[in-house]
Amino acid sequence: MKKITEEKLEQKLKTLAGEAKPNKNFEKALLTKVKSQFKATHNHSFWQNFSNFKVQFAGTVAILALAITTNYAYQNDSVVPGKILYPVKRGAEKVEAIFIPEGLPKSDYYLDMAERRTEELKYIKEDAKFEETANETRKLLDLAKEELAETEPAETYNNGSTSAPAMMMEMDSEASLADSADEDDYADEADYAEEDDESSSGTEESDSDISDEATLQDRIQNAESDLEKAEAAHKEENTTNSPTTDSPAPAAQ
Amino acid sequence: MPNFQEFEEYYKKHLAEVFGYVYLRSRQNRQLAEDLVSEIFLKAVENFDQFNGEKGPFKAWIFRIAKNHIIDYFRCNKSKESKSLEDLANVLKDNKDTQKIAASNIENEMIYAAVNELTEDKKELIAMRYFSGYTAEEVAEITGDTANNIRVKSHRILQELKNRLIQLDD
Repeated sequence: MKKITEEKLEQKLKTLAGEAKPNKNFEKALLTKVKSQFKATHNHSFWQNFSNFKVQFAGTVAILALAITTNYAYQNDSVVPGKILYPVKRGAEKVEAIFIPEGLPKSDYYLDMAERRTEELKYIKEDAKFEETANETRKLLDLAKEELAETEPAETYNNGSTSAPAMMMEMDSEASLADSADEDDYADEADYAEEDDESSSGTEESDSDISDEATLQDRIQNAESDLEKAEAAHKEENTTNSPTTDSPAPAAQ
Repeated sequence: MPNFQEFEEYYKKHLAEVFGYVYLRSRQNRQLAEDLVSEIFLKAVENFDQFNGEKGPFKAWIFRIAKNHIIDYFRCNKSKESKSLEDLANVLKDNKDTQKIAASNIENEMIYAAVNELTEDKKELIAMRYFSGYTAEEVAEITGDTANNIRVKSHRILQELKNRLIQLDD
C-alpha cells in the first residue's frame, strides 16, 4: 500500500464499486413495492380525493354558510330585535362602518341607519322592543339633523374627531342604554359634532354640496314621516289585537 | 397527476447509482443499504408529485432525498455505525491468521476503512464519483458546485486517502 499511486487508488475504488450493485431480486421486489406504493399514494378515486380535502371542504362550506347568513341578516328588514340573527345584523353594520368610503358625510351614515331602523319597525310586534327601536331611530335622526346643521357638508368620517368604527361603538352603547330610553343617549355624539364644527368652520359650500344637503333634508323628512306612520300603525295594530284592554274583563265584572 | 411509467424509467436508470452511493455511505453493509434504498425510493414515489423536472434533474432530486435519509438514519442509529480505522488496524494486528487472508481482501478492507474515516461531505463525493459512477460534471449538477471544483476536491480526497493508507500500512 505504500507504493499506491492516485491512479491505482482510483482504479481500486472503481473495482470496489463493482460489488456495490443491487442484485436482480432486490431490484424486482423493490419495483413491485414502489408500484403498489404509487397506486396507494396517487391513484385515488374521486371519493378518496374528496376525503383528503374534507377539512378544507368543511371550512369552505362553513365560511359560505356564515357569509350567506350574514348577508341574509344584513339585507333583511324582518330581522329585528329579539330575533336570533339580529346580533349578526348589527355586527355586519359595524363592519360596514369600518369600510365606509372617505368623503361620505356623517349625517348620511346616521340617516342610513335611521332608515334601516324605521324599516325594522314594520316587523316589530313587541311593545318594548318597538319603543326601543323607535327611540334609537329618533336619536339617529336627531344626530343626522345636527350633523347637517352644524357640520360642513364636505366633512367626512375620517377628518372628524370620531372615526366610523368609533361611531359604531357609540351606537352599541346606545343600544344597550335604549332600555331606559334616556334622551341623553346620543349626548356624546352631539358633543363631538360640536367639536367637528369648530375644527371645520370657515369653508364655503359649493352648489353640489347645497343640493346634497337638500337631498339629505328630504330624506330626513321622509324618515321622520315613516317613523310616525310606523308608530301609528303599531298603535292601531295593538288596539285591534287587544280589545280587552279598553273594556273590563268579564271576570272583573 | 404523476405518471408511474415516468417514475419507473427514472427508477431503472438511477437505482444502481443510488444503491452504490448508499452502499458506501452505509459503511458497505449490503442489508442496510437495501433497506435504506427501499425507503428512499418509497419516499420518492410518495412525493413524486412534488418533483419538477424544470427545476432540476431527477438524479439531483433523488440524491437529495437519499442524503437526507442517510443523515436521519445515522442520527437515530449512532450505535449501528461500523468499526473505525483504529478498530480495523487492531483486528489486523491481533488476527493470527492474517496471512491466510488474501492480500487483495486486506487491501480492500483497508481502503474501505480509510474511506469510512473521511468526513461526510468527502465520503459523499467519493460515493458519487466512484460508486455511483458519475463524472465531475454530473456530480456538479447534483450538488450545485462547479465541475472544476469537484475535480479539485476529488484530487485532494484521493491524496488524503493515499496518506491514510500509507499510515495504516506502517
